[in-house]
Amino acid sequence: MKYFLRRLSLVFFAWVFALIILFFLPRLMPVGPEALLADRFRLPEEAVLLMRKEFGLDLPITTQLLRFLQNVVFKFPPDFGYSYINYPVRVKDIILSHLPWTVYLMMSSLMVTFLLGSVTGIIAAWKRGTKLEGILSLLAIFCLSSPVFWLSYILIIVFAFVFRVFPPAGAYSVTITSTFSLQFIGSVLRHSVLPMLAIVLTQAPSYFLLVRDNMSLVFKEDYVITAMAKGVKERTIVFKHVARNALLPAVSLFGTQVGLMLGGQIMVEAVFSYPGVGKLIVDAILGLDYPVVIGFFYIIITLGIIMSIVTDFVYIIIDPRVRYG
Amino acid sequence: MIRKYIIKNKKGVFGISVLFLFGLIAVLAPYLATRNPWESFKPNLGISKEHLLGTDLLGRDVFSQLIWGSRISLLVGVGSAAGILIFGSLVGLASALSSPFMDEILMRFTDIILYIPKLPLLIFLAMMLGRGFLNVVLVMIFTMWPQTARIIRSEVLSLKQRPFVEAVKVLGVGTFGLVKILIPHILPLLLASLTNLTIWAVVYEASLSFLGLGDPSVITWGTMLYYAHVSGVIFIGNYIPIVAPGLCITIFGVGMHYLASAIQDVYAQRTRLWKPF
Repeated sequence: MKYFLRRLSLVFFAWVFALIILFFLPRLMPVGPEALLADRFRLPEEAVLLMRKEFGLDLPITTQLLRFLQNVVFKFPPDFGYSYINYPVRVKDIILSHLPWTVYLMMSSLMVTFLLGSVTGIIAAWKRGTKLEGILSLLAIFCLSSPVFWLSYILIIVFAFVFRVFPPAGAYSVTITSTFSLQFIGSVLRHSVLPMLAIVLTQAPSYFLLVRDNMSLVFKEDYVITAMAKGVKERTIVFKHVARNALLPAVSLFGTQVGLMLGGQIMVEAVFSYPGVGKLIVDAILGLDYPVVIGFFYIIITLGIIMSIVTDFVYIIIDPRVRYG
Repeated sequence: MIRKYIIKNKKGVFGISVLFLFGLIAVLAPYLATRNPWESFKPNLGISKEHLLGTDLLGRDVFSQLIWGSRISLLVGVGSAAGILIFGSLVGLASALSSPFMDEILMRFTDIILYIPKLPLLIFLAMMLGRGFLNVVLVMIFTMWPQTARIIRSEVLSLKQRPFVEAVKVLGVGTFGLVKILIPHILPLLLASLTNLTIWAVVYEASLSFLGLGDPSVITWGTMLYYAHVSGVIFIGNYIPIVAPGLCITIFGVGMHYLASAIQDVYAQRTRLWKPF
């Protein structure tokens, strides 16, 4: 318990500091965003002054920081203000309108990644030294090394252009008007197959390698030899005795993987023009829309921290040794 | 040491040959490229003797771009990886060898950077610093050092428990002397980290360029992918400008992976030999 309180407080401070760093980053630039935007859209001098006033950029930096802490860090739900680019729209609304797509894509691919990585990892360790294991390992290393956006393109070329099975871009077909019909859901599912596949193919190899190597280590344990000597069926040993113990570290990878997965998601959404948060953030960064950027990072950092704490808890539940250690 | 252990290892041989091959291509680019990579010919030509891999939508020779592109891609990859490694190990060493209080502060700071997801941060910083491949290197060093710092710190902390460190301390060797003695011990780990980081750096450079944040005035595998993406070259059925640069990145990555795992294998063998039980 004491350990957990200590950890929670440390994590909380890290969270606040990370947000403060994000607050300062755009403000360290020699020219402010309003000047750059004015330059880009050829705005008159008055408009720049008006923007400064409206977004509170004319206030001294300490006041801005206090406001930021008040509105974002110590307020729930946080208030990120208005978007610079789509002015009268609130950042919250922009992000919320894109979030469901990303959450859907991320959760489904996370699930498939975990399943696929674990199952192939178990099989590879079981059949160690066979051709099957060699092929699986080579495939894993290949997918692990290839940039996710390139793999997305390969999938598009193969499944959308050569074999016209899945659509190459978008989240649903634009010809369907009603949002709550079977046709729409089917279209969403069909459109999400390739992006999901791209994420899964680049993420699953890490699970695969981890599970495979852990399985090989656990196979050498005494209790496995005991089970063999007792005459327990091979299948039972692999799945009941070895896999259960070898999957533990994969669970902790689950938590740390989220940030990496998000990076992949951004690239995949860019390639498939998928209307999720990843595409939004790239557009926001390129468009200097800092409130949106900060809102996005807020969600991601918070999510990452929650995931790491949850992983710790889950680990305690599934591994009794940690509880006493 | 490398020669003695890695040549025996099949994975190591493969990794080293890939590295050597790409290095040779990068160095000999002016002699290997059949065309000027900037020159425009007819767009979307197929594979022929004049254009080994055809041309892209702007009519530039894909094969020659690929050869020239390897220069900056590898330079940025290896350069950033070296930068990350140096900075990360300095922080890791400082953290492990200084007082517990300093250690705590450095590690908490490392944690904070670790909590911010890398690619969005990379894009953000690259946007702020402006285009240019030196900026890409700087941005990568800033975002990616924490992992290395963590790895080096935990390794040095475990080395500090060994009797020989105690002995060295008793002999009155200072911190710098200690670092000098420790470096050969963490060298395999440093090399494995370097190869792993190179993969990431090459991929991240390509990702940044792909999103239009690279240096548009130089040819890299990433900017090739960017131009292919923006021009929509695959919609007219010309797949080579997309497939070729990505395949180069992947092959290079596979080679580096095998090299890293060979180094780790050797390292594991050696540590096993060291332990008396």
